[in-house]
Amino acid sequence: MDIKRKDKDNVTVLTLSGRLDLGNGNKLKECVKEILDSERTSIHINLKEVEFVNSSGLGSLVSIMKETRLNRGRLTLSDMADYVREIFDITQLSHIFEIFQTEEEALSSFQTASTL
Amino acid sequence: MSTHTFKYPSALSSEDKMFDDLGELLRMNEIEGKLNNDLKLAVSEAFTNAMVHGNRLDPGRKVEINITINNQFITADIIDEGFGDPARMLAEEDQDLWRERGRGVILMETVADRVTFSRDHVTGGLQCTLLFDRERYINNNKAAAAGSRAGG
Repeated sequence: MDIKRKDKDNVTVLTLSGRLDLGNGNKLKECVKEILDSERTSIHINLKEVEFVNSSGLGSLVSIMKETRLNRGRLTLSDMADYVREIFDITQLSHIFEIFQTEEEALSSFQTASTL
Repeated sequence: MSTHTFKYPSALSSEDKMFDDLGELLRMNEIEGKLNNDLKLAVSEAFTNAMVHGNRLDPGRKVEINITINNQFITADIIDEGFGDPARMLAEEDQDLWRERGRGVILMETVADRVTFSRDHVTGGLQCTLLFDRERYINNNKAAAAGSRAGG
């Protein structure tokens, strides 16, 4: 799995590609830990190029969400392929993640939240 | 009918190899679309269980995958060399949405037509058997196509 990082204002955007499974989930957790350690706590993950996710990959996302909240931050997801979205729905994880159709919508929500 | 056997050491690096082998097997047998996705998901869940919980990521212990393909069914046996209890496998899931583990069996049971756990007589380890009914996918595709014609 490849992880690309870019910073857009106060939001760190990670674009993932490939498989999100056990080994790659650990890699993602380490990457997010580095971001949180640098005191950037607004994180968006774009899943557009993620072709596969299994329960280990989901577990890593839950772990990241918990870490982000412990750091009083916010985590959003976007651009899920239909099959990936189906897996979120089966496991009911769509109830605990903020999932947007597009990265732009997610980033707008951070701007809206910061002006409130 | 064809049967294909793969064996992997219980190490994280085996995930890539397993996906490569499974992807190639499915490609050679022209298994595409949702059946392809569901097979990869269910086999990967059983494979991770076998490596991590069964063999405790001990590279000296192997995970064996046997996949049998015929016109009607696809079955996959995932066998470890560990000490898992077949009776406990189907009862492992809890309802806490914030848990980081314990969704594998739910996913397998959702996408496969049948999931069973038993004791393997050769290795003494746990054997997970997944069965996929190809007819179900054909019927679903027909229903989706009919729905799309009616809607369009």
